[in-house]
Amino acid sequence: MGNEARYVELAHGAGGLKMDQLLEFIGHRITLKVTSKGPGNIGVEALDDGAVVSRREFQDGDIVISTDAHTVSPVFFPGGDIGKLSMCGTLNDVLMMGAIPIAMTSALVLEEGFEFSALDIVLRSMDEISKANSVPIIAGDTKVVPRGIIDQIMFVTTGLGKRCTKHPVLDANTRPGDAIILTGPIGSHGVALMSFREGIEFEADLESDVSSLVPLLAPLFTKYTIHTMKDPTRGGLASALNEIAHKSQVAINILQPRIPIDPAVRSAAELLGLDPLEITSEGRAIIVVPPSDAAGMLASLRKHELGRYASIIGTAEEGPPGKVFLETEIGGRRRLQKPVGELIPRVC
Amino acid sequence: MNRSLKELTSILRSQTYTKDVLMRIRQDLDKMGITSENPVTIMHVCGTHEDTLMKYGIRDLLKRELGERLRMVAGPGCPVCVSPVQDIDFAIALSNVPNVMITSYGDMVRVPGSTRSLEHQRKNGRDIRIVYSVTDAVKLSLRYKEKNIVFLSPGFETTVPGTAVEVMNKPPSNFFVLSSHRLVPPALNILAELSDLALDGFILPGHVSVIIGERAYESLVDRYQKASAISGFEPLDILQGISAVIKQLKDGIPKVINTYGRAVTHEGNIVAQKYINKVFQTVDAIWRGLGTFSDSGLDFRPEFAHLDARSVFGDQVQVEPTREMPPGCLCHKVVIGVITPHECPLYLTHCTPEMPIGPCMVGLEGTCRINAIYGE
Repeated sequence: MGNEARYVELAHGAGGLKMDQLLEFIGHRITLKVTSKGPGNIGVEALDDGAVVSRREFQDGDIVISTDAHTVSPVFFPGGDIGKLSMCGTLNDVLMMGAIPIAMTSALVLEEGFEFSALDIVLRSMDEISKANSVPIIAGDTKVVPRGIIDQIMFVTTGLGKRCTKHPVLDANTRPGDAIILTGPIGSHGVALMSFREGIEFEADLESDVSSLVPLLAPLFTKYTIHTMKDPTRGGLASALNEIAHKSQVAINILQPRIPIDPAVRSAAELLGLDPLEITSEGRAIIVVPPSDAAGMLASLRKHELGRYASIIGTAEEGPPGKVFLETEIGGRRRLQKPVGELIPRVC
Repeated sequence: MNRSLKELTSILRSQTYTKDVLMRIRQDLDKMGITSENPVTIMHVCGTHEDTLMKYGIRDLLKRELGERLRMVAGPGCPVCVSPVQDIDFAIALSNVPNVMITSYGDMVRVPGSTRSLEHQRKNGRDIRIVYSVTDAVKLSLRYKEKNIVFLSPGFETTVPGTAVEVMNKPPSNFFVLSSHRLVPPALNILAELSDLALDGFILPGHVSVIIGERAYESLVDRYQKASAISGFEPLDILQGISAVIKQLKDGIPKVINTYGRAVTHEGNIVAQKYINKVFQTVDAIWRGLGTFSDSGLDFRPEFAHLDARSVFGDQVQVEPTREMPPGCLCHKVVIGVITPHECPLYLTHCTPEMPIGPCMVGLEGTCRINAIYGE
């Protein structure tokens, strides 16, 4: 932008010369813009009304599509920023359906006054994830809204993928006897953000776990039978497990000591009065496999950096259907439910 | 005793130690000849104790190990649940006065008054703010100088010092307090006298005891001869408290045993006590659904009347007629352990954590809410 505006103005969204400058600014920072050079594919660089993905890209696989709106405070947090989060979140959602992501689209809404220098960092983060996972951003849109309409910046990303697993991977497909595997320690995204917001510093540096699970999981889709996959984002492990139990009409028994939690996350959650089981992760997955595939899946996960601390945390059982139980570290048993309502300050 | 948090919790949540203490409890019950026909009944009076009992599955463990030989009863340990409906109604009426902002903790905003809650008032456009502490309320009074900021201040001895300190620090002239503070020892006296509860002993609250110390309970034990133990909030803390009470029953020597020595002293926090006494005086006070207990509440001393929302705004508000409990709600019986949540016909049928009817389902330390969340 050279000596031009430092801040995004309403005029940058008005369709004139400034709009072209903004689009150029964004376009410069995105490397992959079309699925492949193959015939029929049209990407974002064509600046047409939409993109085209040739059906050859899907071979015979089912097409999986997932969309997510991303807003986060603060925009830059320890371990990432909204650009990284909006890419990884949607890539992981596509993966959770047993699909390998092929392309993304991204709609960007900017609050008037957002700094170009911040936009630069956010877009570079997106580009980095796009390149590292070989997933192009093939279509996009940008809007600028007056101050106060949104909080700084918002992304809506959509991911397109091709299913590679033999059978559909659904929340409703967990069966009695299945092993419940967690790919890594939970809760660091939520705790990192919350302690950052509260201005609390802990002994260890707390960083968000936000990451794309493509390199960890994509190679395993054809190797093992997978019944269900789910990433424990909002509402954490507690929400995700309850949704699986409810939709599959099974009971799930979890052994608390088997749940990997980073000691720094545990201490921070303790001080903030939060339950790690209810806190968001952005780079973890629950994988449900038949008992015959449990050991193999676990060993394969552990070979990868992102799955080094993977653990079999429990099993699915016949009933009581729809309920999740926790065997606690002291050996007692209790229900594990979805978190109730907002996290509100308590009396003492 | 300089242990890291990690070391400490690994001890206090150890399965091995848990088993040891459970075995000791079982042996003592055996020696006393306790069966399910003549069970030992122990009451705790802290919502966070109930939370620990449920969250770690201790109730389940006790049942598996001891069957019906030990009854752990949840007492009136939820400040939001026992705060009188009159105070909530007063706050609701006060929120209708122009230029008044009501501030309080999140569960206090949701708790039902006679016909509505502060949350309803907020939805109707009244200025109601949720705060983390009284200090946040004082900050609001600095920011909104044109408004009158009223802090609805509930809680036992744990939250009183915070309010007292702010009052002593000369807050801005647009800051007021609606005191709904209650004291634990007077409530214990009443509970000890209730013969239908047939209590053998008490687990005494950890955080309250940090402030008031072991000595605050000595007259209670002298007068009522109830075995008592102060306990912390980790699983092993509670089990050691239970074990200490049962050992006293076995030996026939009731006293106050402090099993939370890493936080509670004999004298308590003298500085905090001084602040409390400078600002407040004890008064007869209503406990929601339970009646009036003498000297069980705190009100401002006369020299602080200019901060007392009741004195300042009393003649400007129209408080609605009192309805103690929502229709059908048995919270007043749950709160003193006369019935369990399951015995209330509304429990999980009409009254749930998402759509609570009674205070015990609203308060984060409410017995109904805790049981609804962790119970099988």
